[in-house]
Amino acid sequence: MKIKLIYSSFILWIIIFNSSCNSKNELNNANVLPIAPEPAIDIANVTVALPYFSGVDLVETNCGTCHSLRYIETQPDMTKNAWDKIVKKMVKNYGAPISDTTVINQIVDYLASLKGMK
Amino acid sequence: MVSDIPKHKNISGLILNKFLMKFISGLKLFFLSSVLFTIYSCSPEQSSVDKNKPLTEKTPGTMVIAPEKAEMLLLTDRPPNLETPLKYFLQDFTPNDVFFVRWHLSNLPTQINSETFHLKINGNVKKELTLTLNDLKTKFKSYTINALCVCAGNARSGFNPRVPGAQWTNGGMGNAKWTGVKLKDIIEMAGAKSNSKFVSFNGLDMPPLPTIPDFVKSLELKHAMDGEVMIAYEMNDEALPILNGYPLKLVVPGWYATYWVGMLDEVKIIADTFKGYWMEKAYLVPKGIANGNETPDSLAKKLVPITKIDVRSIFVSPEPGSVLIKGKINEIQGLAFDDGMGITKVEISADSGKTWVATILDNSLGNYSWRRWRYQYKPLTSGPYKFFVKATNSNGETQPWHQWNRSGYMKNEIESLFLN
Repeated sequence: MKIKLIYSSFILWIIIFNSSCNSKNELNNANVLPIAPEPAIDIANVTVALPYFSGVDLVETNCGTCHSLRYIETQPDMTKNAWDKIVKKMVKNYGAPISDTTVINQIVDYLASLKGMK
Repeated sequence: MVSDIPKHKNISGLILNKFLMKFISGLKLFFLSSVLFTIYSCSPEQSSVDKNKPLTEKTPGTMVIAPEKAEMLLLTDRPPNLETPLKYFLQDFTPNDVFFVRWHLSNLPTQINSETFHLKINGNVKKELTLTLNDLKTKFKSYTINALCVCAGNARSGFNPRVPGAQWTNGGMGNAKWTGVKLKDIIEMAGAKSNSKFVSFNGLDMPPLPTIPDFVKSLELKHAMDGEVMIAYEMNDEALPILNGYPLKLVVPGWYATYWVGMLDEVKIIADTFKGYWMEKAYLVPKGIANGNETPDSLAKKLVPITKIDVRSIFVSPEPGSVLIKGKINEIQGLAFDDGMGITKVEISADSGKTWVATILDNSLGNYSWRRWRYQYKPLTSGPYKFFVKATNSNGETQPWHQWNRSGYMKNEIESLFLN
């Protein structure tokens, strides 16, 4: 059973190896499809697991109400000041219902720790 | 008749199935490790390629499948923002099922009934109109135009320093053949009162909270009446995918996609200047500068709403890091575009901009369309090679070596491509 498993994954590797090597060689012909990094998933099944540390629950409940947490995941590193402006823009311009400044600060701290820049 | 959207697709409400996700991530790990190993072992030469990160690099982004869409690059899932994979830019017209998707508000209809749908023309008019899709197709003369739709923030991920926002690479644009009705013909039927100045456009997308401003855009009446701005019910000879704004999309040739309001159901004529968040606070660029340039140390004091597409060119093929064959002709190709003045010249440089060589332009598909350029390159020495590309339009406008603004709009600095 084990040998079978090792054998079949070896074959799978060979297949993947050859198919991508072939497409690499065909690059010289210019019109070539890129190698898909991983299988596509249904957009309804996209999940974002933000790193678990202080403030993550506030970010998940407050930010995640209106938009995917992938917005956070995909942002570049920014200064704490820049994150502060973004969070305050969400409250002021878009009416994110966070009135407690302690909560706002905790959210900013989390974001600046996750995607921070000096 | 209801548009044929699969019923189980629920774009706004996400169902998280943790067990399924664990299983998928296990699979992903296997695939990722084997693919990574394969890429590494097949192309060790890639490691020597650029540390400057060219924008057109192969990005290992997450691929997703959304309603009526083939595999696309995921920016965000709620609201859906999806990018066209670069390989589709080898085609002159971007297929509907991979045409980029951009929404601001996450309360987005997942189905629209074409029988009960109405377009309202109201406000400062002599006679308010309520038009069905059938009215648009039978009571007006149809009009078709080839036009490029480019997100204002396309290529934002390439700004240096980086800026917040949706991190598009180059796939936040697409070229299509749009068919519908001239906005002028519709407004004339309603009869704008003589004191009218602006027209606003609203779609069926809704904010998830009532405090979030609804997405409404506006144009000056004289622009709306120019005979080119239109309401499209077809793209590339088919009904629009729901994620591209089915059943109706405003088409504003030469202007950024932020004005191309999807799921359009209300056109309002206004006597006064239009007031609204998405015109007054969002999508603003430095005033009076062709490509919205400013610097982080010296931010522009006056901002105005973004308008026309600036001159830009990109590389499409071969992919960065590809190997050129020495002594043989290798084709390098890409696309160039502007606001409709028309691209007249695209040049390529292999010596960091000291000398530029003209590329060959494909036949024009119309001034509002993108234009393909090709360059036959015969390398006499071994790689690596670094190319730059630069377009010029009939107005003499071209591209700068560096461009930046705080919101990451109108990116048009000269692009580079690394090859081996």
